[in-house]
Amino acid sequence: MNHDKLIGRLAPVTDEEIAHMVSPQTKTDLAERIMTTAADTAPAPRRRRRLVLFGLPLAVATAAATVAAVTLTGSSGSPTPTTSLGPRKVQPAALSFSTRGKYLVVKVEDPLADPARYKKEFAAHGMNITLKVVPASPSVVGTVVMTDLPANVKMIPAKGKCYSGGGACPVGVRIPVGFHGSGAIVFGRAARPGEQYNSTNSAFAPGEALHCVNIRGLTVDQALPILRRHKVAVGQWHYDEKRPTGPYGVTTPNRGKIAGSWYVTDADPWAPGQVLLWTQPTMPKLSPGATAYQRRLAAGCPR
Amino acid sequence: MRPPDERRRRFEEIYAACHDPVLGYVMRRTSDGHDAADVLAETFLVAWRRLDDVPPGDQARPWLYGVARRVLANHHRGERRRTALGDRLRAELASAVRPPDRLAESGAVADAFRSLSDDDRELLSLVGWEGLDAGQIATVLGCSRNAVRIRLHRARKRLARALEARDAHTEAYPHQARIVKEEHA
Repeated sequence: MNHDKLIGRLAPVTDEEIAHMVSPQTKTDLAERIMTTAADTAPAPRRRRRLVLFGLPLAVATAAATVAAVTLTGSSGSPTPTTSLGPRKVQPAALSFSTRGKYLVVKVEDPLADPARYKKEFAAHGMNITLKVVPASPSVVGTVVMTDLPANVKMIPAKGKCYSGGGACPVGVRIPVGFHGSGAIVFGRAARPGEQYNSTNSAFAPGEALHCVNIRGLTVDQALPILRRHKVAVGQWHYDEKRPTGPYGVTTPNRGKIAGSWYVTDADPWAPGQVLLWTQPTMPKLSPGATAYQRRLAAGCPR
Repeated sequence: MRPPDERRRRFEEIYAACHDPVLGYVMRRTSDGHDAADVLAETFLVAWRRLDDVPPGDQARPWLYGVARRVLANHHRGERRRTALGDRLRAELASAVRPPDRLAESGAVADAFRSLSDDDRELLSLVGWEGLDAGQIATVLGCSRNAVRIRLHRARKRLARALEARDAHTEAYPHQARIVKEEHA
């Protein structure tokens, strides 16, 4: 038997097994949800917030190539005070380009600009890069939430502690000058009031709505007064519905049949001041891995 | 830019043809159903946003694997990303009954495969699990077909060497090999 076939047998999951993992309804649902995200053409907001957008990477001494660094460093989730500028006659640049040593540093000057403007300004510098800035939960603001770039583009990690699941929180990317491929970068920005987050950290991470407010394992009746005390509302409820085809995840703005005796298994940031609450009728068994992650998030919280 | 209806139609076509293959690719590379759901949703979101970049016909699948690969790498790198897109999917995949991990099983092949570098394993998996040829792998990895051929050749040689070393070990210590077998009987 050749090696490819031997390795084929090691596949953790076969195509047949995959075919039965997702219900047809959920499959269709995901496609529909994706196709409704053409919200790239959202009207440009009138209020413009200028972030301090900087995070200069240290040059690698041996690197001969000049690279461009694209960074967005939203200092915090709270918006800086803005001055009313009145009607603008000239549209300021959405990006700024400057040279620092071997790096061409690109800063995102206007995180609320139309993505088409970023594209155009990158194109003016000979780069085919799509940049998007999406509403993110507070601790993700200013970090790279998604990239679709070739391997020669390197991530710039955040300084200091990072509380996302894996370990590093990239705040920018370094792109070799002369980069001719196409690529996409998505940064997180602060959400406007009521605006749904597109990218989130755990709701229990430092900087998030429920940091040091552990409601996992509590009943809904126990959790709600705690949430109220912290001025956090339940924006969405989640539970599994039993169906002949298997459990079916339901996310709904209405509490509906979720009883006060149900348990809270998890919470995700949903929008400023709102969380998505994961619930189930039975007492949750928390996996050891998840507990270790939760412990790390809660390090330094008062007991 | 395509007209909206044509965009939808094209995306639906790609989605119908590639949903399961991309889910398979992701599920084979992460043990966490939540992660898999997020990566799958994100991958098709990229496809939707960059629909004009998705190559036609059979080349769409390796292109999507390439996107999934980068999304997955970012995911591992740090972001615990939970878009509301995949919440229903996340619940289904988290509760999906996973078959026992064949990779975790003992056996000379699994053992030899595990001993290889991440890059070698990914190359061999793209052939053995996703059934891709060198040209398609080039699309996934964003390098030339020739580079893939050379790297694949080297990865296969390293696997063969690792297997030989394990066979030799089994011959030299037949008793030990037997105990291992009994333990897993």
